Amino acid sequence: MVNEVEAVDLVKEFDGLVAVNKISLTIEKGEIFGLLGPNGAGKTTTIKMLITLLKPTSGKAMVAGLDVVTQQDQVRRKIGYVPQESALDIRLTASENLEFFAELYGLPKQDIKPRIQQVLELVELDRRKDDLVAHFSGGMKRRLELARGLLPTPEVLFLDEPTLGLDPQTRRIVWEFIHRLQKEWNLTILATTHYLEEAEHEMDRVAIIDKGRIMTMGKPDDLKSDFGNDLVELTIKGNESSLNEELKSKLLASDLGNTLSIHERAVRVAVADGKRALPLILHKIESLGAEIESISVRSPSLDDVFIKYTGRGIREEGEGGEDTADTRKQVAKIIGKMGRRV
Amino acid sequence: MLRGTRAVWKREMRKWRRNKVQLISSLLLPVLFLIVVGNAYSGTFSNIPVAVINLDSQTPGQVYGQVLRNSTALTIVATNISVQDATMMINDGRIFGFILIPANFSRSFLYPFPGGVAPSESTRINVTVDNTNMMVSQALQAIAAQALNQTLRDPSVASWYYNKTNRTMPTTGSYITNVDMYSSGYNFMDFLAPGILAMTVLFTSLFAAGMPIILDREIGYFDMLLSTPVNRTEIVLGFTLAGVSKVVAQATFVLVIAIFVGVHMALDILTILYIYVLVILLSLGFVGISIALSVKIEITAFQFVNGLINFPVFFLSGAFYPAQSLPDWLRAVVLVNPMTYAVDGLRAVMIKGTSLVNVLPDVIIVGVFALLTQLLGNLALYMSLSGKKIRVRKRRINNKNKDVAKNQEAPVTLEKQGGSSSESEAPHETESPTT
Repeated sequence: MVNEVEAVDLVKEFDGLVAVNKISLTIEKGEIFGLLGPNGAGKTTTIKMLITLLKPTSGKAMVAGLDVVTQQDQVRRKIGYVPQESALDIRLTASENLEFFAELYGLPKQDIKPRIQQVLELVELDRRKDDLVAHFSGGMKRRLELARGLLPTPEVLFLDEPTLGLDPQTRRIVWEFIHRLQKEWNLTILATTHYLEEAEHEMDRVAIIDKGRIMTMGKPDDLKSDFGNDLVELTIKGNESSLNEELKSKLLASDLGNTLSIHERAVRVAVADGKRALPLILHKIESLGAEIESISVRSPSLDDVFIKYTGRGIREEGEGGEDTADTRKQVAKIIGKMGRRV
Repeated sequence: MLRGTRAVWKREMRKWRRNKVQLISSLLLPVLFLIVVGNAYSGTFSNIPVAVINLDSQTPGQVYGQVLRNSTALTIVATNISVQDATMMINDGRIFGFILIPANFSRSFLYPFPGGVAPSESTRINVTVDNTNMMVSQALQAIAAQALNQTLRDPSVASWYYNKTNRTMPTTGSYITNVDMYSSGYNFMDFLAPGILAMTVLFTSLFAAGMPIILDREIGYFDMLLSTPVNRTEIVLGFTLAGVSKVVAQATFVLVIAIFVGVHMALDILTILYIYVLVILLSLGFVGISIALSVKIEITAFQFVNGLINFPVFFLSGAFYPAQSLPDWLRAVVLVNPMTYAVDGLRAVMIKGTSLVNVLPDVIIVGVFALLTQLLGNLALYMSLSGKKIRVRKRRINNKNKDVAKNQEAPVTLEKQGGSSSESEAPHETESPTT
């Protein structure tokens, strides 16, 4: 297998603030690779380094076999990019938007029209090509941007939050298009997302990224099975919103396995076989003097993997707590810095 | 060759054409300005309400009164009222002033012949004006003086003089005669038109070049541009050319309207060529400034900064009123304002039809200005496109650190700072004797 994207110890600092901290990853040809993480985790910064918009502070990265620092121009000819925020001229028609970029990508004049037709057909917008983008829906705009990413016949397509701000149905449709493109063009795709279900269902492999570091990486199923097959979730009775420290430390010290995690009054344990493990777990917990309020056994989700590696749920961000306040500050700072750069 | 430039230019022009509201209002603003201000300040007044108090029953006094009555500039709302009443009327705002013809006005002409009275303060025409309205009161004084000029040339006054003294009136003919250097019929609009043209160039250049860049920057469109393999210089050039194109289109519109509303203009090919040379150079100059601003500033600040530049550059250029009406220190500003030379050149070429040799100094000054700001603007945009600005900011931080280090007199720290970046070497050397 050929590695289409390869990053080794990538670091990006903005005035001493570390946005990306020694990220290493490899993406094989034809893979859909997901960077999963909360806002401000360093996903966009990583992509921007890979598409030559930001120079890494240190480390090395190759895209399509080319160095992103020393061979910028060649890299730019091999990649398509769909940015996080919609970047379309709403006063121009769909085909005029594409025409502009076809010219910037340096396509031969006689190829421009047929290529625009081709990519618009792929995203099923060919019948709207002479309509102003101002009249497009969010999903159509996203599809048009996907089409634009395909203009240079890229080897690697970078999608930064391709479904951000879209409703669930439209997200589904956009992903269908992404899969179709991937198959028909044998594309390698690097997409960022903070939707867990997308990472779980749409990506071949994911890397969970938090605070600029890759916490873990692998196929969604493998990541989940590291957990064991079943996840036992118990809620401990109590008046307080979270468990007292004494009980917490007792639980963590018990031999229920290193997958045990506690969040507020919920205790999660991953096990190989839920049905068999349940009596033992109940016994252990009751012997510690805790009363159980409710209990459930289910298969682990990527959310559980995420919580295991980052210590919090991906959606909890913004709900308070020291970590999240930190993250938000970091986001604001990085966005400010990046805005000023251009 | 330059496909990126052409693509950027085409996109900008398309966006500009499609934004109808912006397009139409930006085209109409200078035209409105020309027509409204051009007519309002044209120097001709009509129907100024005044009172006339005529105490002189002899011919010159009567003729003078008649001349005032015939004047279209005045509307005489009251005659032969008392001075107190006239003063009251000024206070009430019913009249802008009154003209008093004293009883001995005519008889002062006859002096030193029999029946004459020695000319003094009390024999002169008295114009009392509401001097809170400066323009109207100045006009009123001028009208009164002009009426006197006309009265003295009146044949009935001359024959009255001859009847009284048996002599020809001596003073006839010794009054000011205006000679118009250029064919007659010039008015304020003709003076204003070149200024409005320059104003159009100024406003549009500052706004239309930088604004798209700021918008692209703020919505993240620039990242898209930069992820393509197009040369950064071509992008910069595309934005500049689009800015100048918009200005040229708008200047053409203003010129056509100016001709349409009857502004005097020499209309040969050379004149038009000179006009466009000046327009393009001036435009390049302000486009450069606009692009340099757009690299750093946010959209809301951009509008204020634009206003801050527009206002003094326009009003201190002689475009609207002559520099001669300003105090010395403001005249100095006029002299260093590149707009002054553009307006001067445009005025010379448009109205007088002067050859390029005469406006060459203007062209050179505006050209140098264009060159400098273009260098500035392109450099700023190019630097930020290639991410070089971060280094400038780092250097500033290093300097700050250095100051701290200086205060602490810690040469060891200094050495480290100096080693980390080449920019800090010079201060490092000056510090070394302290070790």
